[in-house]
Amino acid sequence: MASAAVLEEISRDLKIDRKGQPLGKVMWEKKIKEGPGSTPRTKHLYKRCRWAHTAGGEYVREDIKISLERARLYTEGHKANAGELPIIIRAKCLEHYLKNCSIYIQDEELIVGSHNEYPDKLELFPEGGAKNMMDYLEDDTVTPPELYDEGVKMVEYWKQWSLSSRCERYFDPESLEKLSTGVIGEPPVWAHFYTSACPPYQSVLEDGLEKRIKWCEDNIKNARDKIKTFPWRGEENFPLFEKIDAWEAMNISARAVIGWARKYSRLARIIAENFDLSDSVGGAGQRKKELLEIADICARVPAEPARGLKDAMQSKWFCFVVAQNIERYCSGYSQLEDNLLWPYYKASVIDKTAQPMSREEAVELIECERLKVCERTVTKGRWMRIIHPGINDLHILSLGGLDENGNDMCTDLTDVILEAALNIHTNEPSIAFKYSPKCNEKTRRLVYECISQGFGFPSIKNYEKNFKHSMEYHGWPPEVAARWALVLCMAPGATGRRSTQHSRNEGGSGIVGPAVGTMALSDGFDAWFSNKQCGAHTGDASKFTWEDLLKAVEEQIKHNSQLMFMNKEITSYAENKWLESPFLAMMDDWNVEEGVGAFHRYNKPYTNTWADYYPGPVGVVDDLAAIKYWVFDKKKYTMAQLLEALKANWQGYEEMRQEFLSAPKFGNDDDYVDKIANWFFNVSCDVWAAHKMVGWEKGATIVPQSVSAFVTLGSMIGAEPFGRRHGEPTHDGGCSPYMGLDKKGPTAVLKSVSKLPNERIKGIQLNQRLPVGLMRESEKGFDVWSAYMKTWHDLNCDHVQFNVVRTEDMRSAQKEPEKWEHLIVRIAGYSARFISLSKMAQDAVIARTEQELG
Amino acid sequence: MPQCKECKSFFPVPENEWDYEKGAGDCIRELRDNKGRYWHARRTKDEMDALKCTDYKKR
Ligand code: SF4
Repeated sequence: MASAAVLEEISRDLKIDRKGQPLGKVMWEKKIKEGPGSTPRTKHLYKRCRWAHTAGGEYVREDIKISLERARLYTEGHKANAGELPIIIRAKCLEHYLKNCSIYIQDEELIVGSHNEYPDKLELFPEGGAKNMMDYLEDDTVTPPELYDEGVKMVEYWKQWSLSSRCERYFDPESLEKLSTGVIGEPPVWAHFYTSACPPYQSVLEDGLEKRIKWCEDNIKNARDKIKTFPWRGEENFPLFEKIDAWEAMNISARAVIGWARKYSRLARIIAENFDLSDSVGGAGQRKKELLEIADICARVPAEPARGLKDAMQSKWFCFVVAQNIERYCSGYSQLEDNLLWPYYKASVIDKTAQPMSREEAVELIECERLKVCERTVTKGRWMRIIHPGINDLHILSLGGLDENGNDMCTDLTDVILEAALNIHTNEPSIAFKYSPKCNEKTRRLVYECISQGFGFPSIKNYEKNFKHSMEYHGWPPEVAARWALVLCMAPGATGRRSTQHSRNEGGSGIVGPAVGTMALSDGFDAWFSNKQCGAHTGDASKFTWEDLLKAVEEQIKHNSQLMFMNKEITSYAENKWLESPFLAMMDDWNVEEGVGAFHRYNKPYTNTWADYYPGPVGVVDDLAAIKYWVFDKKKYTMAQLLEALKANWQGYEEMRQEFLSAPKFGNDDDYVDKIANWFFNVSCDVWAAHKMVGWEKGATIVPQSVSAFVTLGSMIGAEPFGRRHGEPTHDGGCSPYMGLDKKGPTAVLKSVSKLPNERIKGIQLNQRLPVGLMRESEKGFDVWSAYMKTWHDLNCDHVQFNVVRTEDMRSAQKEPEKWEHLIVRIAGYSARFISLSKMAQDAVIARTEQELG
Repeated sequence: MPQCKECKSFFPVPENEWDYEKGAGDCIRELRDNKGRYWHARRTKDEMDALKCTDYKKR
């Protein structure tokens, strides 16, 4: 039973007078009336937030335009140093950029630092390759005409140096063509320049960069002494040359980052002392004080260790801006934020020993951080923008969980972060909560309140299941396995001082789930989008037996995943050789100890080799079940008849389609189909495990999920035997039943999910929709939800996330979007502003089955 | 011919700074757009010709 005392405490912290009403209802009404933000500052910043999200691959706000400042300075830096070693070139380009780039500070900001020439500008990465650059340059909605010629010249210059040219040479033309279609899997990093990284912030917050520079200097000195030592030892000394280069590159980068941060210090002081600040929210005196404090903080961090929460937040932000926005574009906002910041929060808010501040001020600072993330502009390739509608990027942080001894790791800071999310009502960054029944009730209640407000987050990951999986399948020691944070949407990665995680090269990337089924029925030929042989030749499906069909599916999984893993490691090789990130390396203790770049993966301490299915593959399960049911068991139709109907996109076969739709479907606790699901996922896990990437002999693990590719890739995936027509959305999530086809209630969904080989799967996404009336407007909502979560946890399910939003509200938002700017929905591994979604994506969320609980 | 160093927006980079070079300065302006105001710093040189700069304001 929910504790009244907890509810009262939360209401007090949130300054909500419930007057006996459900907390969720009062919060919702307050937000509609007063707007988001707990203070005048964050209310102001929310109102003027420079949202930078895309929809349909286009930037929603017309003010978003490209700048060529980064591309120009990187090109200059490259030309001036072209004879240098690749890792030194990368460091010198960063140094040249940070020395000469523009910076700005916006009104009322408490955390400063950006990666672009002016607010709302997109910066480009010519070193990635021509494709993405040209896509931006030729889009006159974002590229002012006066920048076009200069941009094209840069593309020409970088042709021979780019990541594309470094990677393409290793592919045969056939594989290259298959990968480029996007039909069977995510196109390569070097085409869309999409990747992600999880920087180990802890080392910089604890040490400061100056200490780490000294560490590199000592390493260089020791290496030089070693090579002078009699007698000569070639085996030992040879590797030292490369290490010396890496340490020097790290130091060039780190010194530049300190210098760049101090440019902000200078700017903040100049603003404070020279400009009229009288129309600041808190008045001129207050703003001047704030700017002088910002000047002081930016002079000290990230050079020095963080003392309190303000230092830690600023230092972390600077590192994020450089490592994920300047040195490379990297998606993600991965961190175990409550654990990472806890020492600084404790010092500032609880002990008041450094940068003393009230709890309310800490909440405001977190709100500012959330708004800052919402203003981040990114330039990933169009394919990736299309599958990420309604957001700027995949920004997901993690909270909660237990330590390796089973103690609750939630702290007052966990609650503060959740309260800030409740106050500011932004869809980014999303939050993943590491759920254990042992997490304290107040934190679980705050998690519930966020969900009930319709944020779609926190998404819930099973702490215990993922702790065990990380030890068994990745070999992490318990203290590391306990402190996982999601790398992007769904996959846990290690955190801590020696734990840099990457996706697209080490983890991440994916193959299109439903395609392994549709390709098995078409001998690997895609007649729906590319008109090319994309999959494996597996024979004429009209002659298949049931066993032949299963074999063909398995062959398609092998073929498509082979291309993906080959591509991942070619990219990884080329990045390590040509496109290193020396600043990111400088942040990681292991990279500094070993003198290796951030993309070096041999003997990495915590390897994390995984890859996705996305969109999720449950469509294949429902396809196979429908075929088994009507073709091989009931024998009402032949394979040839089915293929004809599919070829016609079910046009003229409506009666037959209805029958295939009525076949057993996943999500209804029906063993007929659940056994097929179990077979399919086990085969997929076997295939993934057979792919042994660098650094991990046990093979890769699998993460079935969907991003929003379940809608946007609908046009690439042919008609499916379970009854879906070409162009319609596919199954969402990694194990979500098809919208409207889960008819037996929420427990049946969980039971179907529990029959998957969950212990082998690294992460598998389940989307559920719950009623507003229960979750937001009823006193018993928390108890009912807690009972549901208990069942979910007892069944060892991996993940679940909820949409709590009324159909009528979504319909109203479709009609009058300007009145529903605040409406957020869960799409996949992230939450999106509803009004920024395509009509098709909106309709797909509306069509999800609303489960009755209780 | 006016030069950046005579402009109100010119702030010389102090000698002890990492990005100091002889004559280097920050051109710092208060800017506004439909989302609010911000203060922008770009790199310039003291002897840069200010004639073509539409933002030039004599000290
Ligand atoms: S660039 Fe223009 S605004 Fe800036 S300092 Fe020079 S003259 Fe002044």
